[in-house]
Amino acid sequence: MYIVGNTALYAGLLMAAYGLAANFIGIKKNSARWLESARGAVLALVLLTSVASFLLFYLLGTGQFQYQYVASYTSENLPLIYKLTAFWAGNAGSLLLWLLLLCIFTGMVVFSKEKHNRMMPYVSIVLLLNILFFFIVITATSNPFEMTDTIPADGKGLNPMLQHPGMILHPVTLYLGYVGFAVPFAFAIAALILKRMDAEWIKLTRRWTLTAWLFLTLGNMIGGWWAYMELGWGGYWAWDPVENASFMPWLTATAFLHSVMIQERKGMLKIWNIVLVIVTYLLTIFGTFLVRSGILTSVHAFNDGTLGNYFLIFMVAMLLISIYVFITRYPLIRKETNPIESYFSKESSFLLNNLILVAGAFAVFWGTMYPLFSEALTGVKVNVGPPYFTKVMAPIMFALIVLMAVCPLIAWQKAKVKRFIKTGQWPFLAGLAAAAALVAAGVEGPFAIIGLGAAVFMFAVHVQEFMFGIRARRKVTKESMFSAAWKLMRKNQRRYGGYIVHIGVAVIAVGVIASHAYSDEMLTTLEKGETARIGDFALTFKGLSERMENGNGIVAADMDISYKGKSAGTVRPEKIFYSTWPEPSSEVAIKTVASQDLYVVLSTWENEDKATFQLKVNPFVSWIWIGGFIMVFGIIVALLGGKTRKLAAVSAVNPEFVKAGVSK
Amino acid sequence: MEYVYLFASSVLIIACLYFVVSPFFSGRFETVAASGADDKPVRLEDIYEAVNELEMEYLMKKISEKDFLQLKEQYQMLAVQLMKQEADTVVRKSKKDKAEEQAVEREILLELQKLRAQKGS
Repeated sequence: MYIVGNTALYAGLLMAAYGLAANFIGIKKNSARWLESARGAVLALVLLTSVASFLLFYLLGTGQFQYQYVASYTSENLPLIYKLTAFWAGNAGSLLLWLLLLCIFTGMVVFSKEKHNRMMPYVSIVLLLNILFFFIVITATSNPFEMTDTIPADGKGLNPMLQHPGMILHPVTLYLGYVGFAVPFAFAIAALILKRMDAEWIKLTRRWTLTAWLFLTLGNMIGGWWAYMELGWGGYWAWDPVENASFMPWLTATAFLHSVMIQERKGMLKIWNIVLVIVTYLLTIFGTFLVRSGILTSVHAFNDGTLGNYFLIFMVAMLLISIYVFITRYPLIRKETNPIESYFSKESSFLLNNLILVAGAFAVFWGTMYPLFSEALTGVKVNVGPPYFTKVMAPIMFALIVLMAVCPLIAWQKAKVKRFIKTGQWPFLAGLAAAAALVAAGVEGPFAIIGLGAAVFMFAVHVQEFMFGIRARRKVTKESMFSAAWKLMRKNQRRYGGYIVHIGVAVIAVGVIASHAYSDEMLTTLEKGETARIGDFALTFKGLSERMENGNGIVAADMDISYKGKSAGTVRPEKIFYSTWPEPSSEVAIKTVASQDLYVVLSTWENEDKATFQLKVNPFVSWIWIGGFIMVFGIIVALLGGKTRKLAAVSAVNPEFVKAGVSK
Repeated sequence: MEYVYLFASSVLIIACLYFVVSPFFSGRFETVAASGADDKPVRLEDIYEAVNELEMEYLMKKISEKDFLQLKEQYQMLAVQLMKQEADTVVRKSKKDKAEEQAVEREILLELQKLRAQKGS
């Protein structure tokens, strides 16, 4: 099996190099045979990486400890699901997963119905460059099929923190997002090389971009959920460098998703879109560099200095290639870009939203890299920590929420301030009323109240958009309410899918604001039969118990819960002592009642009748997960429906532009 | 057992070689026939769609009646222009077809005359 695995990797390396060469020759000779051969190389790569991945799954699942990777991340008593998901627990496996996804995506692109498009050989070259790089890294530094000198009796086991359902999905979804953004990047570079500055590359990659964004969103959400359930500190986002690494491309990708609409419909922001897709792609590589290099301390990092160097070199190389292609085509893009005509228009509101998102990405980048900058300048590594991020990101996110409320109210054509105020007055009043109601109910914290009011404003705008849309349709078609709502959605899934995503964001915003501003925390030691009170909850300690499971020792605390004086069931926080891991791991117990999470961690104990607990009440955290589901649903709606408009010019305000389009 | 793995590896390599080599032995390919998606001009359908959207924005009270009517008129004029262009193309094509038909008819008549002359002689 060692032979098969290594054959797959080294043959893959050669195939990637060959595919690149064949594409170059095919382009130079204008030969379909060479280009078809390059496509064959991609097919071979899909086969080779699939074989290598299947093999690694097999080795992990069957506990072949003669392989270093298997011995490092699994053990005999590890449940099968975690034996298999140890695939992405270490550097070698996770790089192979990345490579597999990249090869599959490249295969899907080069064998798509657009395979004879002029851009395709260039797209293939860019993607094959990525593939070649990953093969080089894997074969040079992180071979998952490397053997051990002596076969150990048992493996070292999997990090307990990774033994959680979240970790089955989080890395895969995140990688699907990261890898997905290589596709629009490749198309953008191909379009630049071919000097095709129309919206074709955007149309061809719309679904890729959305899919990548969907997975990046899912990856971040699942990562937050895992952190909340597994890490035991009571939060879901710690502004850890690696978390930030996946948040930055998400922010720039969100900006890109919005600005491409302007290019598609109005032929504007072409330079901006190219820059955004390049930045997003580079940030995905940068994120991987952060995770692999170990230059910053993180709970998620893999820590391998050599590997970090490879990623740094590759990132710089791709940056230079992008800059070169971009600069040499800059005059052309500039010439073909329509300028923004009005300060008050859909496009300027989108541009503002983009600027805020990019400012957010930069703020996160600055905070993440600050320890390195400070070390380089002063010799002392200074971490900025969550207070910096909260301080900087809170106003940025607030501005985004307000803009998300404002943008849908502005017409695509002939936007006028008077009309905007008229259509926006009711949602604004709803936001204002919500804030007033919170004040009246005795809720404190002016910033949180303003934030919650803004979220309600944004939510109300979108509800109004649906209502007005249904009413407008019914006026013309005389359909029933249900039929009008359904057809309205079906007719413009992109728009209404986007609105559903916005509603999801409003729900998440409520969860984030409320859980930050109104959470309560205490550390308490309880004797058997004693009760602790936190918020509206009361917990009675019933004693500790011990048991063995899968060879691991587990200590559990039994507690009765009541909420506002009424029984609300029991919780059982645990401490697990893994036979293969030096540190014990906390299993958090969470009880959700009326949107409030009671979060219980068993910290320490003196004996079976006396233990110390960390207690937290986190209001509205469950709304974050619900909002995440709504977002994902909205993205799927937008993804599945809605053909891309063929020509942007038609809906442009500028009639001259339209005429030019007609007489083409 | 080692032989099995060696055999499997060989199969893998042969399959990969087949994928990259087979295009050179297939008779199907010559030069690249590239396609681009955006070469088509604006269609009437696109203008109808834009008018529909405009009407929707008007009904949703995002634009005033005056702006709606003005923009709608612009689109109508564009649609007329487009239809005119299409009609011109059809007329030109039919004229060209007619000329070609007449040329063929003339040729047939000449051939017939020649045949008659040959028979007569």
